[in-house]
Amino acid sequence: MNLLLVAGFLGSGKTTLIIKLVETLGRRGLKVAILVNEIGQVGVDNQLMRQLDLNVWELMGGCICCTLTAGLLTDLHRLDAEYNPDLVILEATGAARPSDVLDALHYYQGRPLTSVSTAVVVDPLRLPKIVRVVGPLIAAQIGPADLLIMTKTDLASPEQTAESRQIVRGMNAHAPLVRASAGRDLDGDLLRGLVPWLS
Amino acid sequence: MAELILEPYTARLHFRLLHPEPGLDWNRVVAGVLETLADRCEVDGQSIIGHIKGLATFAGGGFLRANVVAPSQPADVAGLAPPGCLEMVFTVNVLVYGLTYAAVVARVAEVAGVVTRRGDVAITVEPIVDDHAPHHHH
Repeated sequence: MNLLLVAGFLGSGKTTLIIKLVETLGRRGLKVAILVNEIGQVGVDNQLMRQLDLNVWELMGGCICCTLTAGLLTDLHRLDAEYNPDLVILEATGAARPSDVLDALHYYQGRPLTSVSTAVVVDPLRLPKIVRVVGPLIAAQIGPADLLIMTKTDLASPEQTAESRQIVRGMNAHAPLVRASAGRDLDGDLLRGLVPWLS
Repeated sequence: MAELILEPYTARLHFRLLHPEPGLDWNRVVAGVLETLADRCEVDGQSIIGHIKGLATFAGGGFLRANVVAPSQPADVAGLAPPGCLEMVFTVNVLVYGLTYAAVVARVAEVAGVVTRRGDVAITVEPIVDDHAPHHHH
């Protein structure tokens, strides 16, 4: 069972990316489960994914990094035992720090995960403004990412893209940085970056 | 700017057509509401929208999802209300850094009132209340 943590600020495109990835992998015959952690009393993204017939489990009532570690670990156990997916996608809240989520996985005592990776999405239309307001959070998200995904590239100007790239590289100099947009299929570098274990 | 608080707000917005209106574009109605709300939530540079997003599902199948992340950007809408739809329940999550829960309540109520007074669609707000402790990372 592989695990992919998808993190990034609120509204940056995590859910859109995840839905595309699940649909892409589904066409290849892979079993994918999604654990969604949302802030708010009702899981809107969770409901949307159910509408799309995706295998989604909901972690509600708080943020994984603060309050839901036990729920996360329990769900991973159940997924492994009952569904045995090829991939578990964990969608963190936009206010979550990936390192806290990954720390929680240290307590996972099921079968060892085949791989654990973190993909962080950034919105070039808003990143500079967001960094001014919640800079430490953004740095905590971008810094440990294994893969950085700049979303909405069909909407961003070259200047916005360049400025966001500079900000991102100031926080993470080494992770691959790829582009994505809602209108494009997952392909090439983006797909390989998300599921490097897939031949 | 000191790191801002985040007090999540969730509500069901009950939309109801006040007059039969063939071909009403519900997507445009919902998008307009969210865009108007976004304008109210990020005014003086002291707050920033995380996201304002919501979903309506329909008894016969189908959904309408809308999401707005900044006052300068149009809402992103997916799905479609069924033909002849006269009312819908749209569940919305409003996450705005720098606004208290009470401030969000006031803004949602204000927007609902503005839309309703226009005379085409009435919006009733049903907050979903639970522990809404501020989400504040140190």
